[in-house]
Amino acid sequence: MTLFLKGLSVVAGGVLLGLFVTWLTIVRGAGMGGDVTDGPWRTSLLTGSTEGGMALRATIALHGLFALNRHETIYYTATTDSAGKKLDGACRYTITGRDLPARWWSITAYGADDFLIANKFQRYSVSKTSVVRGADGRFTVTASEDASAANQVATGDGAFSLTLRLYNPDPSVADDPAHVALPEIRESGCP
Amino acid sequence: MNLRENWRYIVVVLAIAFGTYLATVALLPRLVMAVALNKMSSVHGFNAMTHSPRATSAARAVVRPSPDLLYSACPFDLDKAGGMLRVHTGGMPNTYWSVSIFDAQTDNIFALNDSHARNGGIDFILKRSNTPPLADRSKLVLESETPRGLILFRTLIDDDRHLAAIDAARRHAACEPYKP
Repeated sequence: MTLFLKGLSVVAGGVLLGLFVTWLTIVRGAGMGGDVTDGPWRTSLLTGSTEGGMALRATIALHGLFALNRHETIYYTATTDSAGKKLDGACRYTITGRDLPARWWSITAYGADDFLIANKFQRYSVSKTSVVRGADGRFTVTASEDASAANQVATGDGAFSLTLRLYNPDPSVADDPAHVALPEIRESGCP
Repeated sequence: MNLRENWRYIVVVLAIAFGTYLATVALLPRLVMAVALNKMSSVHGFNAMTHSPRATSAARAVVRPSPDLLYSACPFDLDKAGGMLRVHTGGMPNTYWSVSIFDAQTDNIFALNDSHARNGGIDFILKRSNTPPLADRSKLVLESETPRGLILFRTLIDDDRHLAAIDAARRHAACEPYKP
């Protein structure tokens, strides 16, 4: 092989490897990333912040563009259930919890393309103002392929993720984001 | 492949791969923002507010939209605006709302919500950080290091029955070039 061809293949190999690593770590990953975990939920207090590092900033640009900083909103994303298994729209999930420590909160399902999932009754999310609670204040939400009633969120039939938004979170969330009483996500049936 | 003979090439490949990764990750936010701004300015141009309908699965302009919020967006270009932009609202709805500013790197450089607003609304000037201060000290003045970016209003739909009223009220939010 001539020196020129050897040099060309070294440069091409390096560029391709670099692009592959970017795809693997930034582009492919579902959800908004983050270095803090709380059960199946992940977050970063640096989302939207000027202090965020390059990798976090790139992840947010691709998977959560225009995310607010932690003083306004804290975002948690789940791509697995509480047992650590990837969320799959072909399965049924039960999401249980109590009101979250924020002025307003919501849980929204997104497809692998990071957009809302098409469904007949347009049930994309539940929120502080729409969720129905039991007498003990707890809520139980079902996430499944189709949704037609209150406390149901449609997931489509493929991979999906859930984003939990805490608007004007209580200061305790930013103080200890890994120990907030966030909802549990339990698989309750797969075909 | 003989590693002993080719280790120099492997080191160069890894170094180029690392450089490519760093460059791509550094450039991605600016690239994504530029694409988003071009998309969002395609209807009303820069320095004008667009009030989007409630997000559904058909919404494809920005990833992870919230279906519980109404978005009003002003893609700005301070160079085209003559250096300054005025952003103001009428009486915003009696529900949670926020206004935030994102620079060309996607950083959220400013955010304020209804609990801090005066008289149920907001009125401020946005200018480049490298331009002289405004003589009129009575105005709230915010600065952006990049000439381009986005001003985004989020208004909560706290009850579907209030949607029409909330939608009408948030449509008073506007942005336009400002001359002192």
